[in-house]
Amino acid sequence: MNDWISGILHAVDVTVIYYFFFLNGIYLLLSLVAFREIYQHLLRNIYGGFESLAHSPLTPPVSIVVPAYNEEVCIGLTANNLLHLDYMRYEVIIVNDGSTDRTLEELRRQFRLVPAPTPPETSLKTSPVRAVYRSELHHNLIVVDKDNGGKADALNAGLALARHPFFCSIDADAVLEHDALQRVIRPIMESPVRVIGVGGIIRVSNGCRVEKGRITKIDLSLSPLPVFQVVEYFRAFLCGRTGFSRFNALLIVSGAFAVFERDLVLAIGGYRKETVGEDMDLVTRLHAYMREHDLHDYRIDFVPDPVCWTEVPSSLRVLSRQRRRWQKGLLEVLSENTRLLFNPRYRGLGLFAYPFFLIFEGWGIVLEVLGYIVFLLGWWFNALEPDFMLAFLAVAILCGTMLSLTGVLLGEMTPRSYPKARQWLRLIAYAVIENFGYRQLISVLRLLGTLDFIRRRGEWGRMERRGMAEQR
Amino acid sequence: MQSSILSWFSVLAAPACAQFPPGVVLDDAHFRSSLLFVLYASLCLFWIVITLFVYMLIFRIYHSLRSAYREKRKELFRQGVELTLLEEPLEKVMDAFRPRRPGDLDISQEVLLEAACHLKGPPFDMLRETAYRLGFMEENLRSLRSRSRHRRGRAMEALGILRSSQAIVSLLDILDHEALDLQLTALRALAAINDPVVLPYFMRICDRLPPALLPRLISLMLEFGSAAHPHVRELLIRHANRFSSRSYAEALKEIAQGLERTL
Repeated sequence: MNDWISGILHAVDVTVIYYFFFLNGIYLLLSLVAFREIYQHLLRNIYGGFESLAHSPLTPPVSIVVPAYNEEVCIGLTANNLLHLDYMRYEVIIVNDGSTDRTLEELRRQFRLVPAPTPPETSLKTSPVRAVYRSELHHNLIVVDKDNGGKADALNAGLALARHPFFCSIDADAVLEHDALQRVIRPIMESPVRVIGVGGIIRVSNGCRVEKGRITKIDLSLSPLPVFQVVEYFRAFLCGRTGFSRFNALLIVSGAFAVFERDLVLAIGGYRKETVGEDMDLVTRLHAYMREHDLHDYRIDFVPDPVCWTEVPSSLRVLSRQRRRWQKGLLEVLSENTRLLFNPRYRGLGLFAYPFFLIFEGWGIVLEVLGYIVFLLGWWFNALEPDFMLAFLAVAILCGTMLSLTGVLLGEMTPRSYPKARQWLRLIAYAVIENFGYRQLISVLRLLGTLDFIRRRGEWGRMERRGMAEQR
Repeated sequence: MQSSILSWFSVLAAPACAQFPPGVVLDDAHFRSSLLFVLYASLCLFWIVITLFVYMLIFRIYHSLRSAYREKRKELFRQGVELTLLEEPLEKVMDAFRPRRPGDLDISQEVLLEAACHLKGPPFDMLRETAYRLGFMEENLRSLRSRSRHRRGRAMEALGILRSSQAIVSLLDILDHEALDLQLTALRALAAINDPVVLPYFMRICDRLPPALLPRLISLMLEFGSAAHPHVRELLIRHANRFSSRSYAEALKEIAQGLERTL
């Protein structure tokens, strides 16, 4: 019996160790690639001349779609922020997704909305649209009032109304930099291949001062939870996504801020309502569509410039809901697209990105938590050598710290970094501390998300916003 | 295989191992190989983390000192912009922009270029003349042959902002042998210089540009004003089937209609 138990423990032990080395090895490689990419990108920015794009007649106009559900606290400021971007031609479409609070009334009050003709039906099926409004103050502001149908449904309703060749999805609590559209449209205008989608880095706005819909002072939140997420966002966006983008194998472009070719999104049927990971789902289906139609000369790009700021959860309850939802969404998308796995037809996506996400980001979490359990069991049954255990723990912590520090360093290199030494030292401290509790917490939440996926349970939940007005 | 990895790690971990007390020897006699591997890995990682931290510290200190110094020096040269706006004599403006210390050339030029981007008419002409007399143009023309591609890119941008007609030949030359992103920078600079004599070269380059870049090329050509209209029309007719994306269809249609009216 004892042999049997120790055999299992040993097998899990070896699997976890291999898993660990592969995962961290890939992250390390992606970080190195990202480091080079960001460095080159920043140098190119000096003579990039992207400002000239804003005034060119051929710079593609953009429709900004903002799904809003119970966003009365921040919708006015977000709309104002979006209406004052430095870009030549764009429209803002706010979709009130059956809010039960005063979201629509706030918009009516601030922007003098008047009824506009409801557009003819398109191929995208959405929940019934109650009314469409136009602003008397801003010619490019449209508000859609519709029955509740979820974020994907609201985005589809906005997409159906969008007139311009590119559309940009933005979260209702996001604060955009004034030149955000110029920065993300640049790869579309200046890439030698067709760029069908671009995402930007999402920065954490908790703790920052927001005045009139603009970030005027960059600071860290006093509460520890958002600061852990700052480190995490730096690591995920600057190391991971920049690295994947280099190989045109980006599977996720954050729905908080992303630009896509409208016709293509319509061609694949818009956002799918069946998943809570609608942003990742869209990107994966766009990749698949292009490859399946033999349109190999295309890119989905990632811009490491800070373009969008968003409020992250500052309570455990909201963080838990968010992470469970992300994990469930990830697994839903992965299970819907199994044809991509090791399929050479999809090139980097099928041979590298999809397997990586499936093995490490998707189901790897089970192994990770199993590793923790086996670690404790092994220690309890005295089946692990204490010296080996401690040494391995040291490697794990140091590896995690190194990756996080790389993320912080890359964040430091990009514009709009944290200006004070105190903030920077705090980020470094959190890059170390996160290995002692926060990472394990996230692992547990992801495991719960995996269980939600298995049980087909879960919903969007509600994000509690402090509101940008309060951050002044 | 395993021993070769271990020996590789032991080289990397050598500085860390040197910290062990003299009596401690790390070999297979004391440790099994997997433990040794993990131990070496942790020591290597430890040093990488320390190095990263130190690098970040140096990076941050260097940047804050550098930006503080540059900002201070820039303040000095900004007087030159004020004198330009006050329409003071050229000699006074030149004196204000004249580099005083090693490294000032770059800072002075940066201030001048920042101002030149936003000025037109006589103040711009004054700044351009200043740049010419202080040797900024020559310096940038020399930099076009620099080994650093970013330096070449910056020089192209500067020559474009200063509308240096002397740079046209060098910039056209660049179109034949530079990488695509620098070709675009050169085209932007040529469009900023705005001498219609280069338009046939724009037409020539569009044959070898990837189709995705044609809209960008057209937008640069439109900066030349009515002189470019016949060329743009020809380009639109000649390359109608090369526009890969329908995203530009509406804008191109608008431009084509506008051209029909002007021609």
